[in-house]
Amino acid sequence: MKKCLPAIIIALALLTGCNGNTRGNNADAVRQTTVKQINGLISADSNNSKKADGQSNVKEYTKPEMEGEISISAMSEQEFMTIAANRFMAMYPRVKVNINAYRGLAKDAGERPSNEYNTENYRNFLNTKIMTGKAEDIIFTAHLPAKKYVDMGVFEDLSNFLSNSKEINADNYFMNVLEASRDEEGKLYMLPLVCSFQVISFDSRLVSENKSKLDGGLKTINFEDASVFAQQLLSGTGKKNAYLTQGDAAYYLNYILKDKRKQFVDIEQKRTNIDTDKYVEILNQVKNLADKSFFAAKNSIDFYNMEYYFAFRVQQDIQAAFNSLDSSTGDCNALPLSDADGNVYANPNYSIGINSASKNKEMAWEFVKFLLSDEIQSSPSFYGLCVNKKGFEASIVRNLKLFGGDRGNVSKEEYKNLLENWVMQVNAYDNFDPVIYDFFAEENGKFFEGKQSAKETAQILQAKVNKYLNE
Amino acid sequence: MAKSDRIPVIMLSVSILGFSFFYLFPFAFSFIYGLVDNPISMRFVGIKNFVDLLHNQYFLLGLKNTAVFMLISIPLNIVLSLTIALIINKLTLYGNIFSLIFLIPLVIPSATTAFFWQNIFSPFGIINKFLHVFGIKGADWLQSEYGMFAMVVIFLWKNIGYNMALYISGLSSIPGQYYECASVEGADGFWKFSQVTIVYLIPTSFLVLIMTFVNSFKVFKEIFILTGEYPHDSLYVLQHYMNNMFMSLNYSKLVSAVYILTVVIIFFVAGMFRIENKASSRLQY
Repeated sequence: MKKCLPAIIIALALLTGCNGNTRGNNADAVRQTTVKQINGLISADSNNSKKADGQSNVKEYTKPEMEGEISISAMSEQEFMTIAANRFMAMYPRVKVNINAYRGLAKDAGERPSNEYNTENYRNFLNTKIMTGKAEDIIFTAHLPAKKYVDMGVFEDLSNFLSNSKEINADNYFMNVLEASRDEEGKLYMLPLVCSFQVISFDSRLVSENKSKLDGGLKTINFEDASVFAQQLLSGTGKKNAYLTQGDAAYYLNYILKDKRKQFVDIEQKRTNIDTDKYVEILNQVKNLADKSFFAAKNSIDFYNMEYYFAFRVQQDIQAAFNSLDSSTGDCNALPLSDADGNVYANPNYSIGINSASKNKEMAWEFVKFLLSDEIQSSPSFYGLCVNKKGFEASIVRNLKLFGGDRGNVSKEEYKNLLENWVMQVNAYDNFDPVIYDFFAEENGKFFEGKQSAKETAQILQAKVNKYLNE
Repeated sequence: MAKSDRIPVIMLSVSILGFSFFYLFPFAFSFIYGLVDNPISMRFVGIKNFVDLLHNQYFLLGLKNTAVFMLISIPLNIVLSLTIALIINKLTLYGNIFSLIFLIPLVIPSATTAFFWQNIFSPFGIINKFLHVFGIKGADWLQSEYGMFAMVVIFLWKNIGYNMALYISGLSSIPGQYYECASVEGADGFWKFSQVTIVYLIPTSFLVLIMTFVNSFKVFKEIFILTGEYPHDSLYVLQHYMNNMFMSLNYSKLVSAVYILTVVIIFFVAGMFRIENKASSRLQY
């Protein structure tokens, strides 16, 4: 034993350096915002006894005694969260809502995170809290590898909560969006608060001079089909400064891969199929387009002095709908972007889940319902289209005004109808792992910089993604 | 307890308490994680995690690479640092300056050296430019099967100075009379080296071996900074696996890996102590 003791001590000393996180968790970086606490008592609604379920075992759901504390985790605090927390606490004075935002209050939606507050550090920070049982009751899923979290049992299945909340129905909500993340077993771990998706539109000036037209019966379009049509538009124009898209080759490739990602990465089965001729061919095709000047050279765009034509572009729903209806913007044939199988994905950036280890699941659900309520969803602090239909209506009015609809170019009815039609196309939830996206962006970027060949890129990606999924 | 033993025991108990509280107890308690499916649901699965781990291709890859890296780098480090120590020990001029030069890598932070190594091993780096002069096609050293070579070079650069200092200290503690006596007996340089220097350096060599073994785990830091969480297969070591398990919340696999590694390290270090004890017992000063 005497001889073994030094060996044990050395082994432990070695391992203390092995099992730790190599990057700081920045515990101090969290800005905990205790919104406010108002004392008083509101009686619980004891009549509301519906069936609810924490895990798979069904149990009666009773609206909880509205007293205690709930916490919310998010990468950055949004205005609507603060408003909702304040109003919720005003409604239930014995409830305290804490918003723990990693980056503090998001002052500007376009604000880029500093290195210290990047998404990777946020994930590390949240992971530590989850593993020590100190994670918040409600977790905003933006920037998180949601699938891995679901597999680890981090999120509570919300199916029963949802089915027991009769006010959340197709009359009041876009259920196709709300339930877009439901898995094959019928479990629902994340709820989007906003209907956000991408839309492709074409340059009306190039379309008008082109003989071939896009099929008028299309309800959605995938990126590759859009690209084929856009290339036809370019080949049929004599205009100078006409390019495929405003982004560069890497941007274009990113969308092409989104189209076909299931062919290359099967997250469910933990299989990768990247090191193939197909992937190499795609890389070379995009490189070929770049070499043939289908994309504007880096830093060459000069909007002040030159006129440019971009055959097609990808925009967010609300902007794209307005542009496609306002003839002065030069956009036409706008359609929701689908993948190669025709699925239109709801953006996960405004989704929430309830921590399965939360001791206040019922109260957390009450807050989630409040976030989905007419009152909060109609709030001007929501950017985008709300899943609540009254909130949706309010966001139509708000966005129309924002984009200059009060000039009379676009009527509220046509704007609303178009967006409603598009929202109804949403049938899937984009829970593709952001870590894998980062791998693709990094390695494809090196390919375009000439640091590695297409074959090497495919091999490196295959190895990386495979390790990530199967470690 | 004898009075003379009290002070050492009191002094040691503070250290033992700290070690137990911060390392031993958490390590022992973490074993529970190895027996459950994950730390959230905490469903008991017996030794399934350990069995799965021994069939996990990436754990085995990390284990293999760690072992190969140690088998190459530890002997190389010991031989090179001893050679340099012997040369510096013979120098009558500038010996201290050379010692200092070899110790410089120890004080340079890993993050700072990453840029330097990137410039050496990148596809457009110094090695490839040098090879290009002779018409030899280079490689992306950190993304190829030559990755292990890069890892060994980085390790040697960082650690030779430390071991060299230990050997210089060991060499200076060998009594000069032994060499004089050997010379009187007509021994040549090789005999003196093999029968005096090497023999009396056994305790130092053991210390060097243990320290090199410990430091060989630390090369992960530089490799991680250079290549991230998912490097080329040739650079993937056990710490990558464990770090990635931590990042992906898989504490069960992490703990299983740690315990398997602990068993391996305990056997290795215990074996080393045994050999050293036997070898040292024959030494007479």
